[in-house]
Amino acid sequence: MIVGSCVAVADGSDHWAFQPVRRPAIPGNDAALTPIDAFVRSRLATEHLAPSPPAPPLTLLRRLHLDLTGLLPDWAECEAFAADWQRDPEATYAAKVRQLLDSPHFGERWARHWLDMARYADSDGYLGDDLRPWAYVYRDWVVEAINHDLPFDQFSIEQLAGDLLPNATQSQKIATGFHRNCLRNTEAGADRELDRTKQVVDRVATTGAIWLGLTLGCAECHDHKHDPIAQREFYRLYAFFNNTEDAEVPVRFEPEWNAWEAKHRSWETQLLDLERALAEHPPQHQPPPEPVGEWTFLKPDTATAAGLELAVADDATINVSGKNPPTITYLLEKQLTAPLVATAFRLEALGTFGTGRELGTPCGRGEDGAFALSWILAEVEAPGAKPRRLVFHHAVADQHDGQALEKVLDPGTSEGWQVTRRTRQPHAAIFTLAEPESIPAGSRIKFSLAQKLGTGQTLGRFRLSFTGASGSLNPGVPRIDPEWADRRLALERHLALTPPKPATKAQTLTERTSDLRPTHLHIRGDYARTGEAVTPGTPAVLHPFPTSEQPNRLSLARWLFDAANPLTARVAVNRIWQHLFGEGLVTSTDDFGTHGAPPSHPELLDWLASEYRRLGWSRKELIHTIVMSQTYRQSSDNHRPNLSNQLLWRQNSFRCSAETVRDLHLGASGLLSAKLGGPAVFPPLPEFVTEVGRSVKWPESQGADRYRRGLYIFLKRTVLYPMLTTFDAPDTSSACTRRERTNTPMQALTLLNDPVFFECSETLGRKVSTRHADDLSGALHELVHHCLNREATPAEMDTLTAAHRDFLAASSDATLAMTATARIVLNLDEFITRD
Amino acid sequence: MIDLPLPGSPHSRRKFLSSGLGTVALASLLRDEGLLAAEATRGPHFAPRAKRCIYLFMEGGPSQMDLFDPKPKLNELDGQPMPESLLQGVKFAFTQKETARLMGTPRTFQPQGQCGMELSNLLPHLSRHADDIALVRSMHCDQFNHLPGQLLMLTGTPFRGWPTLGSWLNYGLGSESRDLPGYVVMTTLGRGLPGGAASWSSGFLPSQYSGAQFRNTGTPVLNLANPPGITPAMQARTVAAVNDLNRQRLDRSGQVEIASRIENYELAFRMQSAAPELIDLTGESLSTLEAYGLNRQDKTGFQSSFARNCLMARRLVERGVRFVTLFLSTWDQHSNLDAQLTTNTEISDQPVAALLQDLKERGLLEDTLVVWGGEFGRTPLGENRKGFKTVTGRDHHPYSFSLWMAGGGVKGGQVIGKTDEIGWGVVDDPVHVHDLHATILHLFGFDHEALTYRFQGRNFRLTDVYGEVVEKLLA
Repeated sequence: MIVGSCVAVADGSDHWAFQPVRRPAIPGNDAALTPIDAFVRSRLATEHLAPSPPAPPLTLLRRLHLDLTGLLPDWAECEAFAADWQRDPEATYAAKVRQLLDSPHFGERWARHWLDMARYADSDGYLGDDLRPWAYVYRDWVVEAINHDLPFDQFSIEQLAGDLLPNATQSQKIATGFHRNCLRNTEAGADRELDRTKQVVDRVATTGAIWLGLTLGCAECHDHKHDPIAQREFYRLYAFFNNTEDAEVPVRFEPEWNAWEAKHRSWETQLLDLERALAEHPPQHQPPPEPVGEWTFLKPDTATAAGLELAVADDATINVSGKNPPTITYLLEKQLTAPLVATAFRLEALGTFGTGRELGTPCGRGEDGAFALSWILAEVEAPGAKPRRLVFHHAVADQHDGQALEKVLDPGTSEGWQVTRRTRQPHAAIFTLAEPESIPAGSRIKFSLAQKLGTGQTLGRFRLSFTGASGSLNPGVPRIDPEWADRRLALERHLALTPPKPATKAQTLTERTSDLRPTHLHIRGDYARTGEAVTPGTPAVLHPFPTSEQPNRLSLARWLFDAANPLTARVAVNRIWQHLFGEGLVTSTDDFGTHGAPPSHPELLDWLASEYRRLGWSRKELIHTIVMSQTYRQSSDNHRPNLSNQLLWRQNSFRCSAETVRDLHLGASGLLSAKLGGPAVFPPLPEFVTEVGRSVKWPESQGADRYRRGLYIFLKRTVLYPMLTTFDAPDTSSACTRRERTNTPMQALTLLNDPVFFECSETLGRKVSTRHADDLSGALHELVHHCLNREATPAEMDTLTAAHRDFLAASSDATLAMTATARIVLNLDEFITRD
Repeated sequence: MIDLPLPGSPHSRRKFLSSGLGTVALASLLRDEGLLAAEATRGPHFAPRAKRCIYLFMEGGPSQMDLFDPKPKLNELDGQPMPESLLQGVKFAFTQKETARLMGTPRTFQPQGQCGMELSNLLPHLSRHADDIALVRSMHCDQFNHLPGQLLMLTGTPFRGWPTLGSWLNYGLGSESRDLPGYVVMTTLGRGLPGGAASWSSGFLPSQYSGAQFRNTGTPVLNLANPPGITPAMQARTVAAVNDLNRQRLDRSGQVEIASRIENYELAFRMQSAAPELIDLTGESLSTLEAYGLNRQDKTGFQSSFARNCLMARRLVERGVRFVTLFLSTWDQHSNLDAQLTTNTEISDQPVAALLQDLKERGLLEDTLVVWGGEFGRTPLGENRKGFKTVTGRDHHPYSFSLWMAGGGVKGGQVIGKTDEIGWGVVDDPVHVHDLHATILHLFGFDHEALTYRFQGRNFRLTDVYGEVVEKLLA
């Protein structure tokens, strides 16, 4: 296979982003400055601008918390930080940075940034929008990988090609779920091949945006309009992804497995107790009372019921399977091959106990194995004669738990023979004929067994027989030892509760090994119009693909991290910078092409890119390097509103992301669940949101799961959680490298009136009221401590005190007044802003 | 109280603030360096003809030669390569022009109304309004791809970060509605909207001028009711206190975004009274609902969604909302063109015509500008397979496309501009996107060169350094 560059596209190759990363010299010679500060300040100096002073310590603490974990510090932590700061500011700050980088919530916070790009969602999208119950396994992988600081190169390679790594681990296979996150159209009638090609196109475009900062998707239908990417080169990249198969693989997580084992052990202990109790009581069954009579089984030729399966066994037993409707009538038919002489018919309900750890079979299909027979009808059609009904005049049963058994002979009522207890043992009823019948051979005999109670209590296993004997008959059922039966039943009920083994799976990709799909150019992006055949390869404008490598996803992933790659490191550090400053050094984070924005600090960008590689692609270390700089620590106060901050003369102040807005509310009120990972949750959602989706199921979470972090909210693509959307969470349809930050009246309405947020106000209000029963000032101070992580100013105290007084006057309800006051603080711009 | 020294920096805050350059020197320096913004210039500059605008943005690029621009010659040449004569001077976007073939339209065109404007039989409802609309057949732009094309049409540049037309108008004129946002956006999303919120962003204008997106399904605005126990008076008191505290912080920190937050809280409070009535359609007569086609059922739900949005647009402008954008993002017909155009016009033709009629009957059309159009057009070249008969669709075409306007001081019943025989390029009265913007601003009483906002040392305007008012469009 020929790999490497096709015809060179020279145009645009002198563009800055395609030039190799060289580690620039650090300007100036102030050894006290970090390299970042040296770059930023030398640039400011050329504009005769001074940097801003550092932000106050508690602002820095809040900033670090929000940037690194997305959660607020509590007031005790603020006080401890302030006290330590008095002794040694630098050491205090440095220790806090390390502490937060080590927090498990760091992974949650930074995973969310990554999930935006991974277009992570818990459903397929499109009209069908089927759920993806295992999507969270990948999400949890991202959190964990980031918490363990999996180096960015490894982190990337595992996601692009974890399945192709030698002896791929479970974790590496889960990582390949990255490219399973794209939209999928499962709608009936959808063109499957079209959808597959759309997914591959998305995988190429996403890979380009995230690792190369290139808008490769623009070259799907034609040569890129302004970047040197030919359409042919797009399809050479496409070829790398063209032979994958979706695979759902079982995964074993120790915590989940341990929990199951613990549960299973305790279940097993109880089982042993039940088995012991059973063994201690040998059964003392008794045979049926005499006379039993001579009974002949009546094996029907056909047994039917609407929508059910009735199987007739050799011993004339009929086993029912299929759905269990509330009411049903069984129809049994037989053509007699010999004359039949009968005085009575018998219906056996054949419940059985199991043996050992096998479950028995109950008689009926109702709750606890109950059954009922509303009416029995027998018809005979002798050759050449009109059909006639057989007339029963009496019924007797070994056990009857309903009202009057005789009603079973009355077609007008739904009641009849009913057994609701001891359903795992046989029961029988005898229907005596008014006159003995002699039915000639060749006749057809038909039985209708109706269950009209409407409770699904229908026979599950039964048999018909007849006798010609006269005199007193009994149903012929042995008497099962009731004590033994109770013990056996308790055992069987417990057996039915066996904790199921974890069946967690992961959505992964695997590579086809045979029947490989060839890749062709798609003319105008139409997959049905195939053009020239292409081999896997990378764009000529970038560093060459190593000829020694087999071209596959793995070697492509490694090529991305080739030391000669001018883009990957630049693009990656720029995004990290963006998350710590609100804007990237290149503001077009997904476009480093010729139409993208130029970097505000080109040398700093290159220094960071080379530093990332030098740090072994450690995300935590790079973040550490940035947040330790004075540039990061600057105050964000903007005393020159007309002066652009492109040159970073101050920090930026910006509204927190959608998930953080939620987490802040839950955190400040104390409702937030600190649980990490696991399946997505369904916080309460207004009904009118779900009414629009097709078959939208929103099984509202209960208990602490209602208060999980925004990261864990179920992302159903057609019905995204409205609060998240209102605060600019991405729509998950394609990779999002940069969120919008809108400021709208809908956000105000959400913060004021959304029931989840109001519950936070109530909880927070209650909390501070309880702790400061007769001390309004103390309560108000605590509100500000909790939410804003600082002391209230006297003017703020005046505002809050006056508002509280007015609330109290308006409602005469102290609890409501404090709720309403807490609500003010939770609605402040500052509360949802990272300064 | 915690009172702390500043962290280990060589400068204290006071020292920092008192040191450095003198104010005058700094200001002039920054101006020279292009880093200082200044106050803006607002209008209107002369009597406006339009007070409100409903912009029906047909995302994806509707095909002009199947809808608005009849090309008999193109039908004649169906299946032929581009004639050599027409290739002269034509700038191709394609690399495989040797395989491209012209594609006619199966659609028929008839003169409509008094003016005799020819419209496609895909537009039976709009055809009844031929005398109300000014059809521009000579639109052109310079962007081939959706996102830059849309941004150009919406903001006057193909880049993110610039204010949209609706933001400029609200910035220039303010909002007429105290109780609703001055700029509302509703969407009917087929293939999604590439620009997302950039499509109604205020860019570098303060974010209070950005569009407020109403939900596209279910209830248009959520959380309008106060929580249990909170009376309207308490809510008012809450918003007053929130804004008082926000103002205190604005003064301390200088974060201008807080000013928008304050405005949005005030607006949100007023919306709580105004919006329930706005979104409650029970007062609309059955004949109105039927005219818009609100109860039409289709698999995707786009028909009812777009119809509802059209009706909402009328209700919004009726209540003084300055600018309403409705996005219908279903028009990108690379394949299966005729069937998809049928679907698209089934979605949109009836409600759009009903909107024009409704505005007219209520006397609103006079000063409400309605604009219908996409980001570019589609090629007269089609996709050709097996004897050039199996036609699948048309590609993006920035060189010529059609767009129409009505009301708000636009002279209806006329066609402006002309394309060549096959509809490739414009031959008469070319109207660039910048010219359209200049004309729209003119209708709202603005000299497009004078409506500016100073940002980072430069006066920015919607039309950048271009744009000429299309006089023919004016009534």
